Amino acid sequence: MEIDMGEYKQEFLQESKEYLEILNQSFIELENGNKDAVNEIFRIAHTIKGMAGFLGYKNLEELCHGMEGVLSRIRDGEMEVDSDIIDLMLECVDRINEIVEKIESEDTDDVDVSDLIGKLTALKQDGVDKTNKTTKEIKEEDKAQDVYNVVVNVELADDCAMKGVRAALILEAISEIAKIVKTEPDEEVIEGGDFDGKFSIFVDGSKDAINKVMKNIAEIKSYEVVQVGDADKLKSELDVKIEGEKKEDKESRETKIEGRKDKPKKTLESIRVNIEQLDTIMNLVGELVISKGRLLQISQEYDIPELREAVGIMDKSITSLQDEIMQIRMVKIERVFSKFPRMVRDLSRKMGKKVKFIIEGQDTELDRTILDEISDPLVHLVRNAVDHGIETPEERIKAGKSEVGLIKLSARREKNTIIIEIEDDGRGLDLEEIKKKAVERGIILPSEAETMSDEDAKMLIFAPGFSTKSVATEVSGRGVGMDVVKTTAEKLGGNVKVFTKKGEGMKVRISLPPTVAIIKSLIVKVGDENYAIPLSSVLEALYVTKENWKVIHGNPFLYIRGKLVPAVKLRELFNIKNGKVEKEVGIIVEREGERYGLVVDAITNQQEIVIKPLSSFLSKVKGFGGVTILGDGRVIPILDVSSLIGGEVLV
Amino acid sequence: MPKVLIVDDTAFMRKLLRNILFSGGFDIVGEAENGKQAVELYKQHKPDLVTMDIVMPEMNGIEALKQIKSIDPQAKVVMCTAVGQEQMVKAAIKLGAKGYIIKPFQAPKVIEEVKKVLGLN
Repeated sequence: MEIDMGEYKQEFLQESKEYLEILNQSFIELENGNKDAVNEIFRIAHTIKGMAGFLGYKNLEELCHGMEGVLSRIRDGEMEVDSDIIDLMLECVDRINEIVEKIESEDTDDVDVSDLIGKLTALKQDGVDKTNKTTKEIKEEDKAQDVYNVVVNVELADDCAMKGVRAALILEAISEIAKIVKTEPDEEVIEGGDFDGKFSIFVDGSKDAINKVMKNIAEIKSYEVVQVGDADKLKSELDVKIEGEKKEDKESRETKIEGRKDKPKKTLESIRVNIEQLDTIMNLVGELVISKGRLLQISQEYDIPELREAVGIMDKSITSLQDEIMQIRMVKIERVFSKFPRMVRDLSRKMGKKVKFIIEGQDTELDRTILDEISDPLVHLVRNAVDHGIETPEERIKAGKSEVGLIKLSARREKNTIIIEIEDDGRGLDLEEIKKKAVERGIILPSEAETMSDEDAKMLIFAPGFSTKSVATEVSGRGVGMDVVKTTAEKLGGNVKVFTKKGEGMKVRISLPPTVAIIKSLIVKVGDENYAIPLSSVLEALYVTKENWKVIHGNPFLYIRGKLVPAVKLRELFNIKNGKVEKEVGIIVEREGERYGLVVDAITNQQEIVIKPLSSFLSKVKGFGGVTILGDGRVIPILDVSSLIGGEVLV
Repeated sequence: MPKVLIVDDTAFMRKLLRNILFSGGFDIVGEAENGKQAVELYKQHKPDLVTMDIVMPEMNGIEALKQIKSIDPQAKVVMCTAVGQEQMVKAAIKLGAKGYIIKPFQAPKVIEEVKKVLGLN
C-alpha cells in the first residue's frame, strides 16, 4: 500500500507554521524562567520531526532531532538555560521556518543545517555526563531459582526498529502469563538493544500460553517454544492460568458496566476553514445586504405591504447572518502580538539594551482583515520603541532610571473601538528637536515651527519622509514607517495619537473599529450626487443658518453652542454648480479629537453599506475611502473624512 | 470491523493513520487530540484498539495509557513513537501497552502491528 504524501503536505505546512509561532513564544518564556515551557517546546520539536520524517524532509528531521537532544537535557535538569542556548535555539527555529518556506515554495527541504547540527551536538556533549548505572546489582539477587520448563528462542525481523523495545514487549507479554527465569543474553543487554536480534528466554510456564502470546507480537522473524522440564509442573501451572483468566473476565465485565453509566457527549468543537472561503462568504453577505436594500426600495416605491413585510423578515435573517460571519471573522490579537516577545528580545540583545516586555489584552478580538493590515505598523512601532525609545543601560542609570527599560503593548475594547497602545519608559520625544528636523527636511516652515502647538509637533513624526534619528540604523528609522502607521490606521477607519514627555517615555495609541466591510453610514446629497459618510465619524447634524454660518478671515466656520468649528462646503470642494438648495445641512464629524463641519445639500438616508475598496490607481485618490452599491444599483463614493479635511488639494 | 481510536495531537498524523487503518479494514470510532480526550472517548466508544501518541499537550500518552488501563485492564493500546523515545516506549510497555509503531511508519507495518495485537491473522 503506497501512501500519497502530497495530500498531507498542506496540513504539514499549516501545522508547522502554527508551531513555529508557539516555539518563538515558548523560548522567550523559557528564557524568562518558565521551566515548564521546555515541555511544550520539546513536544513541538518532536512533532515537527515526526511529520518531517514522513514526508522525507531529512534536513528538517535531523535539525529537530538535534534540538530534541539539547532540549531533553534541559528538561531533565542536566543543562542550565542561558541566553546563548536560547540564541542557538532561536536560530534553529528560524532555520526551520526557512525550511518550511522552502518546502512550501519549492517542495524541497534543501537547506543546509550542518552548521546548526554541529553546534547542537557540541552543546549536547558539553558538561558532564551524569548517567547512572546502578540498577544492575539489584537484579543479580533474584537469580537464585533457576527452574524453567520452557525455552523460547526468538529471532526478530531484520527491519525491526528499536530491537530493544520489541524485546521488552516480548518479555513483558510473557511475564504476564508465566515466570521468566532468565534470558540469554542478559535482560539489560537485550532491552538496551545491543544484540543481533536473536535471544532466548527461559521460562517457568505453559508452552501453549506462550505460543498464543508470541503469535500476537509483530516484527518477529521466527520463534520456537521448546518444552524442557516435567509434565506435573506444567499441569499445575495451567490450572492457575485458567483460574486467572476467569477472574480477569469477571473484572472486565464489571468495569464495562460501570463504564457505560457515564457517557459524556464529546463533539467536535471547531473545524478549520480556508480564509478565502470566509472572504467569499463575507462578500456574498455583502451582496445580500445590497439586494435587501433594493427590495426594500421597491416595496417602498410601489407601496406593497406584503413585500415590505417579507423583506422585513428577510432583513432579520440577513442581519443575524451578517453578525455571525462578523463573529467568525474575529480573531484574537494574540496572533499578531505573539511574534513580538521574540522580536523585542532579539533587537534588545543586538543593541545592548535591557528591556522588559509586557503584553496585555491578548484576548481582544479584531476582524481578521484589520488585524492583517495593522500587523506591520505594529511591528514598526515596537521596533521604534526598542530602537529609539529605550536608552542604553548606561544612559538610563545616568538619567536615574532602572537600567531595564519597560515596553508595554496592550489591547482592549472600549465600546465600539479597539485600542492598541505601545508604551515605553524611554527617552520620549524631544519636540524642539522634532521641529528642527521637520524644518530641515522642508516639512514645515521655520515660522510654522515657532507657533506650532505641542500637539501638532508630536504629529510631525507621522509626516512622510520624517525620521528622528540622523543615522538610519538597520533596525528602524529608514524614514518610512511612521507615516504608514498613521495612514493605515486611518484607512481602517481609526486614528493614531501620541502621548509623550521628554525623558519619561512615549505612548502611541491606535484606535480602530473592530470590524470593517459593512458599516452604518449616512447617505448625503450634494448637487445630483449621493455620497456616504461613515456614521462612526459623525457626531451630529444641523441646518446651516445665517446665525451659525461665519466666515472669519476668509475661513468658514460653523458656530455651535459657543464654539467655532471649521467647516467645508462639499459643493465648493467638488466644484458642483447646479441644483442649489435653500437650507444646507452641516454634518459635524470628528477626527483625532478635532471637530469639523461638512456642509451638504441634504441627508437622504441612513443605511448599512458594504465597502468596496478602490483598486489600484483609484486608491490614491484623496478624499474617498471606497465606493458602495446602493439598493437600486447606483454606485456612490464613500467620503474619507480624515483625508477630506486634512486640507490637501483634491484631484 | 474492529473499532480503533486514534490519538495524536497533530491533524497530520491523525489523517495519515485514519487513511492507513481505514484501508486496512478498520473502523475509526474516534480521534482524540490529547490524552484527556482519549480517555473520554475510550469510555464512550470502548474501542478494540487505541493508537496512542506519546508526546501530547494536556495529558501525554503515558498518562492516558495508565488511565485507560485503569478503566479497562484489557485495553489494547499501541504506542506511536519516534526514534529516540525508546525509554518512553519501554515505560509504556511496562504499563501495559501491547505494541508500538515507529514514525515515520509504513502502512504495512502499521497494519501488521495492529492486526497482531488484535490477534487477527
